[in-house]
Amino acid sequence: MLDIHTPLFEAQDIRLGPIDYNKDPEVESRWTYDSEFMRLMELKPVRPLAPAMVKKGYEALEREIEEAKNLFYFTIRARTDDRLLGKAVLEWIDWTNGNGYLRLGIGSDADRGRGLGKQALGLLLRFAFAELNLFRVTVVLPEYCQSAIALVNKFGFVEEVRRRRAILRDDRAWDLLAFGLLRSEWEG
Amino acid sequence: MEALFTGELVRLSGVDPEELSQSFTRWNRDSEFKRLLDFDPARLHSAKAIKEWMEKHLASEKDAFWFSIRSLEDDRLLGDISLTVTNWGSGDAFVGLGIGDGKKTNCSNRHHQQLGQI
Repeated sequence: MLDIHTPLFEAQDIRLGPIDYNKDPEVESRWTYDSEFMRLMELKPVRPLAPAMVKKGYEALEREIEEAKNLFYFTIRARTDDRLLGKAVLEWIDWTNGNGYLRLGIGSDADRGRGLGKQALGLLLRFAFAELNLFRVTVVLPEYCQSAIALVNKFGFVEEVRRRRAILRDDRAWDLLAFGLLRSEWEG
Repeated sequence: MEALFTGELVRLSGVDPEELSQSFTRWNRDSEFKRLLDFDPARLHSAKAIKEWMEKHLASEKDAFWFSIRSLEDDRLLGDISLTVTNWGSGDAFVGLGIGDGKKTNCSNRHHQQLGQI
């Protein structure tokens, strides 16, 4: 039951928050040095970023948010101490057709496998359907992202597109999958 | 080596923003063309706005390979086709194709797509 008093940005162990220019660049920079995380998170060739470059990335991101008006970016933070845990994004929102692309990641290996991604996905979906009134959301995942695929399946996402051999990494080709969740499926 | 830009019925040539923008102003008024070409809401931009967008796009979009499509028979501008590389690392690209000229010709989309494949 949706209720104006139900917080949009708070879950059990995590909250969705803004970018913190003081604390976040250092943390996110460390994530970019972890090629395993980066290859889960990014489809294009990955590169490590110094904190100053992460900060520049935030500035460009906030400019784009202002101009494009179809992008919502949240940091995922621990409720206890506001520590940066990850990022949650709704992007390329096609308002006319009511679709948005959803992306999220928990940056540090130590924070994964604890159900935090599940909480963040729940919040992001509520935001997409209850606040943005989208008709459907799309998640794009390389087939090697097994935890993420398991998570979206748990939420009832349906595999809709299989772009064959669209990701080349480590001497092999991987399919790129697109999963969709309709508003009616989320409500039901 | 094969000729890359010439097919049986059409050839690919460069985009001239002045010319292509004028053609698009005409083609856009056919809502069927607009709705087949794109999934965002159809807008009727001025030729000037379209020309400026095309010039900016040509100057900045290094990942896009954009061609005009001309008929071999009478060199008429029929439409445009583009290949936009979305992931250089994995060799993945999108093809965009629009045939705006409504006049019945012998051309088919299939020929244009064959020219556009890499």
